[in-house]
Amino acid sequence: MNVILLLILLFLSSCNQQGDSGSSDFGCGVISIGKAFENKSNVGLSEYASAIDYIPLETTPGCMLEGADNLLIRSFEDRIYLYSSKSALQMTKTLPLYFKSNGDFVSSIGSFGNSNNEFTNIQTIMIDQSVSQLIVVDYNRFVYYTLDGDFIRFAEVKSNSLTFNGYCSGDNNCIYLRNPSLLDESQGADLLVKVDSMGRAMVRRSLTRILLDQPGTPMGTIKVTKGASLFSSSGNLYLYMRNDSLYRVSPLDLSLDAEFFLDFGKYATNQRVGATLWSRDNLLFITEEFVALTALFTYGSFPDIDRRYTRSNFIYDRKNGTTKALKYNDTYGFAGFTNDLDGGMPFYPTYMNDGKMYRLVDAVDFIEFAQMGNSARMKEVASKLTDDSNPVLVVVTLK
Amino acid sequence: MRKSFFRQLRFVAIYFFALFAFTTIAYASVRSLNYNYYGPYPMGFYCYACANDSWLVAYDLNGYPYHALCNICYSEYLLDEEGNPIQIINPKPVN
Ligand SMILES: [Zn+2]
Repeated sequence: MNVILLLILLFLSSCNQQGDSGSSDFGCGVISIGKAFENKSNVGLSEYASAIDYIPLETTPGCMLEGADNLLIRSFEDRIYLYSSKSALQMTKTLPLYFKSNGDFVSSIGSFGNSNNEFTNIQTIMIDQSVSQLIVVDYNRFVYYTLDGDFIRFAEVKSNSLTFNGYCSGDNNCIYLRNPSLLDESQGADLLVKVDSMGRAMVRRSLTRILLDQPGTPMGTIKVTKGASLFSSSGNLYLYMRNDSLYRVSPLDLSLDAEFFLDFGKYATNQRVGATLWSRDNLLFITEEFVALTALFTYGSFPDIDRRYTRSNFIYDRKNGTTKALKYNDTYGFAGFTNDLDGGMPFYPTYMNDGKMYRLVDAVDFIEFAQMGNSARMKEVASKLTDDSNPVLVVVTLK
Repeated sequence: MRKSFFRQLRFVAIYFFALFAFTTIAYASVRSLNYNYYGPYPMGFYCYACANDSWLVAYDLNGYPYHALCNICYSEYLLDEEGNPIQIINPKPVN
């Protein structure tokens, strides 16, 4: 018993020492993914949330949205912005749309084109809450708009990357992570970069990558390199590195402070790629109460895992230190928090900001889900939808 | 021997063409080139990373598929003319 205590103490202190500043508000939490995965369970929404609502988005010819799976959400105060996650690949490009939080459509944002006040692609949209501005990230350019969509200015930001993985850091600067791409000169390292509001690079930090085996590809086992991923949650930036650690990034000097250790247990990465944190679309939700994250049990490495669980959602309770893997709901066809707030569909967020979590559900699915559950509000909303309606925005208010 | 050499040459050609085309598509304006991705649809093989069979596929000027992008995690494959994966370009989703 004492030995275990000693080991835990040793572990915690080593975790703190890894940080550059050691001034983390929270200790280093151990998220036991491997263990939780062996025994999946249900977590009620009411543990962390106080309310759920379903907002049908206005459906008129000027604001037709594509499928919920292709849309990314941004919110600020009473504004909701929706845009396509695959803009760069699409034949018909669609502008970001701006809705009020009650679902009323207001306007589209910006325009496609080659002028200074236009963009050719949308890699992502960032909201700089410190100055109330929208930033549309085009290839190597930031285009700044007011929250109502009026053009302000543009800045050249040389990220030379296929996809832009970055966030505003709350001090009028932005921080992005550049993974080595086919065209760049970073010589195989990841680069964490802080740029000011004029697009000038202020601080850079180079992060080494590791070489691993990836089994189970159509070409057999191949060599791959793995590096870092950048996330943003509750106004903080997090870097996932070394296949098991989440560091808080200091917006000042990009120093790293170990905050969570992801214990993948027998699914950990060793010589070969193991389980890892899902890095697309910022699916990491950290509040003072919990951490909700998505782990990928890389299919090539774990072909025997039920494919419904290749990508799994986990909830780490920060107060009692427990980790739970969310059970797949066969009725609804996905894994989320059990909806014990109003008896409606299960919920798992795709976006979180200012104490609210969000998810879009296609109208056709929403109508079906409303029939399956007991939520009076869902049934009421569904009764006014058709299969061709815009998606419904599910909004969960955190405690 | 000769055939194999040409196969390899073709592979290299396809590879560079795909690299060029894809990066051009991603980096700049697609409109002048008229390359686009179709789908997502199943191609009969699962993504080695996320286990989905849902692909965005780009075709060359002769109508042959050359590049598949996983619709879920964005892992990328080069394809042969029959649409079979021949190489992973850029391991994803964990960079
Ligand atoms: Zn995939």
